[in-house]
Amino acid sequence: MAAVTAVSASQARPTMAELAARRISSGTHNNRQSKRYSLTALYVSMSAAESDVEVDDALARAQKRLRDLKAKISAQSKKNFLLERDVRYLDSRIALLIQNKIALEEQTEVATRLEESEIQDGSFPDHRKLDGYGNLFFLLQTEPRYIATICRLLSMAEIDSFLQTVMFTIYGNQYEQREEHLLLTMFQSVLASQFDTATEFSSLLRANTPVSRMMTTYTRRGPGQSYLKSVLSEQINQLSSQLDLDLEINPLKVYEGLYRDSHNRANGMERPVSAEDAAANVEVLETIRPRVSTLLHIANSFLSKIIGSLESVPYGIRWICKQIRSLTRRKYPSTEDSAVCTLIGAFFFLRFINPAIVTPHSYMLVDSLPAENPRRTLTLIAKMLQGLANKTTYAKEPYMASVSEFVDENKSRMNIFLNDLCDVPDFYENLELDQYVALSKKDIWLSITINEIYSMHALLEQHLSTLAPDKSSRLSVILRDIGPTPPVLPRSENFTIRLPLFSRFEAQIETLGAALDITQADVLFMEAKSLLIQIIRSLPSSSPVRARPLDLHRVASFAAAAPKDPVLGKKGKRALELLNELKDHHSLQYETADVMMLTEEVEEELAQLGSIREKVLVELKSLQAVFETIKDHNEYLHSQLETYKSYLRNVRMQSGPKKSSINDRVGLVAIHGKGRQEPKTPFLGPYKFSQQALQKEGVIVVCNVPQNRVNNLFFYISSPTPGTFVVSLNYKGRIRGLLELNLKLDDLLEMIGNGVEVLDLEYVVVNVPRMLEFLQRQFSRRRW
Amino acid sequence: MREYKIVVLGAGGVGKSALSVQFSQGIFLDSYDPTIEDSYRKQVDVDGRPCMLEILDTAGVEQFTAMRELYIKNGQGFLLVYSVTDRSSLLELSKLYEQVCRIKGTKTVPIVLAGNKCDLAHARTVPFQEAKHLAHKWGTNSFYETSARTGVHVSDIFVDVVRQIQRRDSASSSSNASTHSASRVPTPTEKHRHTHSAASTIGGSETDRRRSSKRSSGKHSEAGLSTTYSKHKQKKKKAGGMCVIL
Repeated sequence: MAAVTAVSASQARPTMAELAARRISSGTHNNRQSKRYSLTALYVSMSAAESDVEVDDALARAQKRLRDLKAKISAQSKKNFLLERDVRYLDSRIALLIQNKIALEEQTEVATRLEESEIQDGSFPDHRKLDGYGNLFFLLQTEPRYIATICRLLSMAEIDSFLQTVMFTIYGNQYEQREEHLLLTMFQSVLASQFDTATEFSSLLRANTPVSRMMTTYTRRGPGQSYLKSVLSEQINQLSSQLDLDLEINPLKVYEGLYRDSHNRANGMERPVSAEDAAANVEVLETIRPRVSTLLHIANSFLSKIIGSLESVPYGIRWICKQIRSLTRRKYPSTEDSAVCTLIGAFFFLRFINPAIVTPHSYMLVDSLPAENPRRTLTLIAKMLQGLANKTTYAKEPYMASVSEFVDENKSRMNIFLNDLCDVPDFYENLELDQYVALSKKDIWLSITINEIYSMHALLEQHLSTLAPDKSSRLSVILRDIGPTPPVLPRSENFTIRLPLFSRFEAQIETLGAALDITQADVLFMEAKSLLIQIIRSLPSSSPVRARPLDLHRVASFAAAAPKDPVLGKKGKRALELLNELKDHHSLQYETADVMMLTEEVEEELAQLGSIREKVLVELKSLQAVFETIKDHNEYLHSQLETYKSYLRNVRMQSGPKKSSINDRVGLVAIHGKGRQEPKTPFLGPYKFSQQALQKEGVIVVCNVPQNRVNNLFFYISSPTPGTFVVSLNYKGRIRGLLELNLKLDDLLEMIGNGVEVLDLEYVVVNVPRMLEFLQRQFSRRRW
Repeated sequence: MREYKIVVLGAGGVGKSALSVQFSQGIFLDSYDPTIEDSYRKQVDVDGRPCMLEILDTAGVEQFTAMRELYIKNGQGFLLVYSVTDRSSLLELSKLYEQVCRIKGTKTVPIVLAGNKCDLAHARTVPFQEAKHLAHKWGTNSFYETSARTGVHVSDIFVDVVRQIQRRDSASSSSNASTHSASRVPTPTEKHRHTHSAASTIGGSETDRRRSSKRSSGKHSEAGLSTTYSKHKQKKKKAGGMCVIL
């Protein structure tokens, strides 16, 4: 799997930045050597997957555990995202239903829709289509501009399921460098266009847009989550446990608190009071004074912790800050530095840090909503940080002026921090290299549901003219080959497939040399290095051949002669061959140099691996904690869903015993025999209606069938479960219907809510509110 | 003195704070300072009766929405604010309205719909009638276009919501019905109320009243925009994914 390879690669090799630094520092290294360094990176990254399987030392085991954990976190956070969406969905549906005072049975229907079990695995039936989609998603993944464009075209209502596919499926490997970089490239393009369309400086990044939803979703993936936990959780938990610590500094609220004490009432306190009177009250002032200094102390400690965390802020978040800064400077060159900082703060503090401080429970930092006092303290801290990030000059609430020194004292510190956040290197060079790696790999694939594929297909089809006006573009060609979008499957029939990604437009890179302009000798060098490292790692540390200085020939011969381990023996023989080939490739004077260099690099690598092991163990520990919190959050979301469901049950109980009995059901008929199971709720219909009858009712507003054939048109309407309706349009004499329409009550309500008045069914156009009214009338009369 | 807990809700940057501060302090905030949670208090006379308004100004930035549920639980009346220069801010209110109804368990919550920034005529993207239509769908006439900058209708929205709370309270005390019952039928007063008939006794000043009458005459001229509205009404939907052509 792609993620696996690059992750281990990033540990097994120095980063590109380190490589670059080394290149600069060692002037003796010649050009060829530097190429070898970056190439080693590439080579190791490509063969890392296999080598980890073959080498079984402590490091390899730790790395494997780390990879598994990362994969689990990625999968689990996708699940959480889905659950959150379900909660939002249920919430909006309940609201719609309450608003329209709909029969209670239908509310249950909504709830049961969510009770279906997890999506099952399956396989895609049509191989040709599967190939087409593999091409399509490879294109989408490697050319982020398409996704960026769609992102700008979507409404807030459509964005959630789209983001689900983008962030948790297409770029779902949260810890894989290549996918992360592509995702960030996509962000850059979306952000840039937001800057392009902004009419004034102050309107930038303010409204809730698909872009802000996208950035939020991003900050809540694994790395952002573990950052918040590491930087905030300790202080927030400490504050949350101090239930009696009341730090209210709003004179009005303080006055109220004092008034509740009957002793003060006797002393002539009255209420209600005006803000001015409360602020002038001596007792109030005395209560507030020490609180202000405590608050300042706490806010300063939060700020210090945040500023001190600079190095652990996830790369992607810092890179977004960097983009905001450079886009602002480009579009508004005369903007003062402090104003640029305000915008960076609007992302980092307003959208990332402060929401976690105000509602730590929804960011999994504490178990439940904090009690009243701690919650108020946290809100005040967030307000102070917000004031500082925004460098507010006017306190909207007069009492906040009492903590204004927090802003004054920390202003410059804050600006430095926000600018430091932006100081991260770009990744374009890496990305290019990663792309080569991707092309040369034969096993990139996505775990994706059929409906995710179809929805993405539908969006691409819908926006194709904007996305790729050129009919010969790759996107157009691929879409033409796949054909029209199939309809989305019902939730219960959806399944997950493994979609292999590849590009039919680029030949897979078989030889690296062609791609990167390197010689055969370079390739030999790399293979030898990688193989020798593997051999040494699989030998016990006490083995005499591991003693420094290394003698590579000795190592290879030792392995080749290992009688008990055929794998090691094979590797040893291959290593010997490689060393000999290297010798043949050069005249004698280069040979010694090459072998020396090889020895040097192998030693260096081994030394590095030792310290990497420590790092891997540390990372493993911290990710374990992240995984635990994500799992906890998953439980929390499940309980939230439960709450909603029991809410529905309660509403039903309160409504009394008029629940319809199963025995009352009328006309239990199964239609079309599509393997429907006998429904637990009564199945109503089908009932037959003529075209004219429906036209008379105002349900049909336009009929596209010629007048002389209208009489042959008729409808069957049935209700398999309360709140769902199946309408089929039939033509006399034809056994099969012309069209079948599945209508859900809440879908109809949503259409009406969105101002959609008519539904186009090709043969006829239906008036939605009339249709709803008609269905309810017909089916309530016939009793459920 | 009776106190009224009013919660101001709406998308980011629409001017919730500007309205609240204009109302409570008579100042126009022209710089943007995103709110996390602010509260204001203001005493006004409504129909001759002194009332204390506790105004809770909330965050529009969606990352803070987790707090909303609590605000709505504690609030008695709600100002739902959008900006006439930003269509999506109006669309966001439908969800909010539904959330308020769900948490309060009834459709008849004291609510005022306010379209702010109406002084920015050149940047307007939401026609008057479109929002008016939304208010009707919610079963209310309490819709105003406001400007925190010029002060147009700023006090009216707060007074309107106070009146609604008063009416609801007196209706529930006379009929002895629970205000939280989902099945409550709107009282006759609620059905026949005329939003604009109330003379503005608060804010009191002559200029204020003149401003608002000028404003309402301006409103009529916007009826010309109803063409856009009817276009919106014609919105069609293809049956798409729900429908199988056999």
